[in-house]
Formats: sequence, structure tokens, C-alpha cells
Amino acid sequence: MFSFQSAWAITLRYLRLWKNDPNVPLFNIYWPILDILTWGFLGTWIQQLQSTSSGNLTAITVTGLLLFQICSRGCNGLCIALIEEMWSDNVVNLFSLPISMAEWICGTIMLAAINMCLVTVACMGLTFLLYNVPVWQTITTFFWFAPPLFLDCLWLGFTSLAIIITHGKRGVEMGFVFAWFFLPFCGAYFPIDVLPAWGQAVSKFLPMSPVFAGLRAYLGSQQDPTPFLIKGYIMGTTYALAGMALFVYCFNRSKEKGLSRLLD
Amino acid sequence: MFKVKNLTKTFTSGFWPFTAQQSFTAVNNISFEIKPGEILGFLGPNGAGKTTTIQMLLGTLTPTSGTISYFGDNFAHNRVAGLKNIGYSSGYERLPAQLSILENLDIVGRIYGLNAQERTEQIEKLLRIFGMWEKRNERSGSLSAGQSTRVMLAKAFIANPKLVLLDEPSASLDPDIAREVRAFILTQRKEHNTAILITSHNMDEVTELCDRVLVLKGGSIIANSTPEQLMQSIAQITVHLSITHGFDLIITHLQKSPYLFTTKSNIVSVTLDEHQIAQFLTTLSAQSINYSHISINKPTLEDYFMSIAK
Repeated sequence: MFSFQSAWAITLRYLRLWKNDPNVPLFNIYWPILDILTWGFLGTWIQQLQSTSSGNLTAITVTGLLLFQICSRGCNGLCIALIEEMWSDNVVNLFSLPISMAEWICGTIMLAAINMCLVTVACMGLTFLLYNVPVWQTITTFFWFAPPLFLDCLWLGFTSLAIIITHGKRGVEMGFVFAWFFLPFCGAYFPIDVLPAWGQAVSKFLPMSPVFAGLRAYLGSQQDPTPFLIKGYIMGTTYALAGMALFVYCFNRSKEKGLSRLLD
Repeated sequence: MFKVKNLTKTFTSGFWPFTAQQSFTAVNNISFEIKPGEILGFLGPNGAGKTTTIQMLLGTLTPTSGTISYFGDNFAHNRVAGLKNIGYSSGYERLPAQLSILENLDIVGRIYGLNAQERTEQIEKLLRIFGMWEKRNERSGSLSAGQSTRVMLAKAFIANPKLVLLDEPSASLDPDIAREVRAFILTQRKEHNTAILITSHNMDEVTELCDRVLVLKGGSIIANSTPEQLMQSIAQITVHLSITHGFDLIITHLQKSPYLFTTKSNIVSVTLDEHQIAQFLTTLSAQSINYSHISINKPTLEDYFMSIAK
């Protein structure tokens, strides 16, 4: 016989999980907000373009999308390096080996670089096959625009790692989606002019914004992207170093409570 | 070789001003040292501070105060150099599940700076010793708890370290494998003069292996001695007598005496201090109480452990 009390007990079980692990309710609203912002502003931009000449809209959008993957996938790649160790109950084992923090950071950066190259090559081929965006054009674009975005991936990745090393398994989801929070504001899919004033203010502080603005200028109207790129390189380097410093700080703070607690 | 001086770890919980801050001292001002080739046991009830101390010795937990020095170097300033000479294995931790045993040990060997030939030789030697060579290509995640423990031991000894920290090394091992592991530890000490710090709840293992035992309770060292001396510190022993004549007499006598006793069939077990045995047996003889068999249970390290765990 069906027992409503049993069914309610199950509901209550998960509601109590929400109370004890704020990640769950947080991410229930995180993704809808992100989708509303990203696709809403993208729609606004496309609507605006209908009355103006657009240049190569497909190339701009697809390349922007592709380049954002450097940030997001690279960031996730860095996070996975630590998350894998946590899932394997191997954090104490790893950091009790004679490996310095600089060596571990270098190793994870190389992993992110390899990850970036694989994603890039696969995506380039796909964009050529599906959208006829020529590979030579994508390669040239990547040659200039990928390095500062890789620096941004390091900023996002090491900041995410700082969250994870501080909060352990409870911080994994938050760290993992950290990069996506900036997607609507960095101008990857649409120019930041589409954003409201508060959104444009946020984008000014993001090191990805000038890179994507330069990409749009370069692909859309053949403008020289150098001023944008210089700003992107400077901001990217600064943020990447700050992200690494934050991670090292949080790692040392975490050691005060013990790395073994990350497994709980 | 390896010195710990005034090591203290205090954990603080609570986030002021939202919740009241509370502090708990897990390790309280402990000092000790290990000499080359020495096997030091680390004993104590749960929550005594053993694992906290090991985490600090490995650098995965920052001490609140005190110093750790390996081979004359301050560990806080030369963590990597110190760890080059240290191996670690815990019965409760695992290597990455998705990699094979060989892949995992190869990575550990690389981090210790072994060249390709050294890695190959050491990995094969250790996996054969621990009976895991046939399983070398299996994923670590597919291993049983006992098999994982053996791989972790291989990891700890891969670089022939000068000091090995073993946290419950024989947990989840079958008795025959545990015996082989103990034999290996003794061989390693003999051949490489390796110093070993070992925590274990297996008192027989500690008695068999350790030259000296540190006993922790409530975060402090309450004893630092050989296993034999610790056992001797338990003065009371148990005498078992198979009574053939005068059973009622001995019961009456024991009821009037201060000794604790139990009976089972015609066997009487009496707990008393070692120096009282002669007097006790003389009294039995004087009362014409006869016994066909006598056995004396000397205190073990487990008895000592039970006495301090109370």
C-alpha cells in the first residue's frame, strides 16, 4: 500500500541535504540565471544586427565560442587534476611525495595546455566541416588570441582550485562552474555593448573582455586588434599570477586544517 | 636523524562572530627522535593524536608550534628535500583508481627522481615481494583492501628511503601476508638501515617489530620505552590453577583476600602482583590445597594498551 509518509520522508531527506549542502539549491538557480543572461543577450545582439551589416557573423560567433572553450575547458582541466586526487583519496599521498608546489602547478599548467590543444584541434576541424569557417583563418586567429585566453584559463582555473582546496568535496561543483559565471560578461558570444551598464562595468574587470573585443574587431571589420591584445596580455598575466598566488595562499591555509579533511 | 621538538597542533572551529570559536589541542607539546635503523612504534587509543602527528611529519598539516627536522634540516624550510628521504604508507589511503599499479608506481618513482632502470627494478622487486607482480597491469581501483595496502607498501619503499612512516600498515591484511610484511620491514631495516615509524592497533605486531614505543594519550606522550618495559609496567599477572583438592578452601581463602579471582569448572584464575605469587602458593600449600596444573599469564602490550585506554 502506498505510504505518503514514506514518500515525504524521501523528499525531506533531499530537502535536508539542501540545508546541509548549499551547493544543491545554489546550482538549481545558477544555471537558469546563466542561461537567461547568455542567451537573452545573444538574442538582443542578433536582433540589433538585423538592421546593420554584420560582417561574417558565423565566423565571429563560432570563433568566439571556440575561444571561450580555452577558458572553460582549460579551467575544468586544472580543476580535474585536483578533483581526481580527491576522488581517489590520494591527496595526502600526493602531497607527501617530494614534489614542490611550483612543480605541481607547472604540471597542471602543462596538462591544461595539452587539453587546450586537443580541444582546439578538434573544434577547428568541426567548425570547418559544419560551418565552413576556413581552418587557415581559425589558425591565424588562434595564434594571436589563444595565449591571452590561456592566461585567463589559468586565472579561472587556479581561483577555482583555491575554492576547491578550501572547501574540499563540497567546493568541487562551485569550483568547477566558476568559469561559466563570467561567460555573459566577457563578450565571447556577443559584444559587451549589448549588456546593460552594470554588466559592462563587470566586463571591464575581466581580462577576457579585451581579447574578445579584439577578435570581433579583427574578424568583423578587419581592424588591428593589437591594442586589445596588449591589454588582454597584461590583464591576463596579472590575473593568472594573482590566481596562482591565491591558490598557494589557500593551499597553505588548507594545510593548517589538514589536507586529509579534503577527503571528507 | 629525525627530531621532533615541542610539536603542538591546535584546531580551531567556529567562525567568529557568527559562531563561538572553540579550540582543541590534538597534539600537545611532544618531542621525540628516531635514530637510523630504529623501528619506533606509535601507540595510543583513537583520538590520541597519532595520525595528526604523522600528517605533520609529512607536511600535509601545518603544526601550530614546534619544529620537525629531518637529517639536520628544518622540515618547514626544506619540505621537498626532507620528503626525498621519506616513504609513507597508510592502510586507509589509495592510489588513483583509474591507473594501473605499474602506472601509479612509475609516477611515484619519477617524483622521487629514480631513473627508468631504477624504477623498473624497484617496482618489479617490491611487487614480487608483496605478491602483486601478477596483478601489475590491473587498475588500482579494482584491488581489494588488502591488495591496495600491499601496493601502498611498495610505494612507501620504492626509493629505499631512510625513514618510512607506516600508518596501520597491516590493516586489512590476511595474517600470512601481514607476517610477510613484517619480515620485509625487518629485512629492509637490516639491509638499508631504514628507520621506521609505525602506528598499529596490532599489539603483537608492535611487540615483534618495535625497538621502542611512544605512547600517546590526549595528544601527549605518556610513555617512551621498549615494549618489554611497557609490559613490565603492568605489575599484575594472572595465575591459573587446576585444583584437585581443596576447591572450597581456596574459594574461602580468596574471598577473604584482596585478590581478584574467577572460577571455571575446577580452574581458579587469580590476578595478583608478580611479587605476591610465591607467598600465595605457600599459603595454598599450608592449607593442603592441591593443584595438578599451574599456568602464569604475563602481561602483554595489549594489557598495557587496555590499561592506558581506560
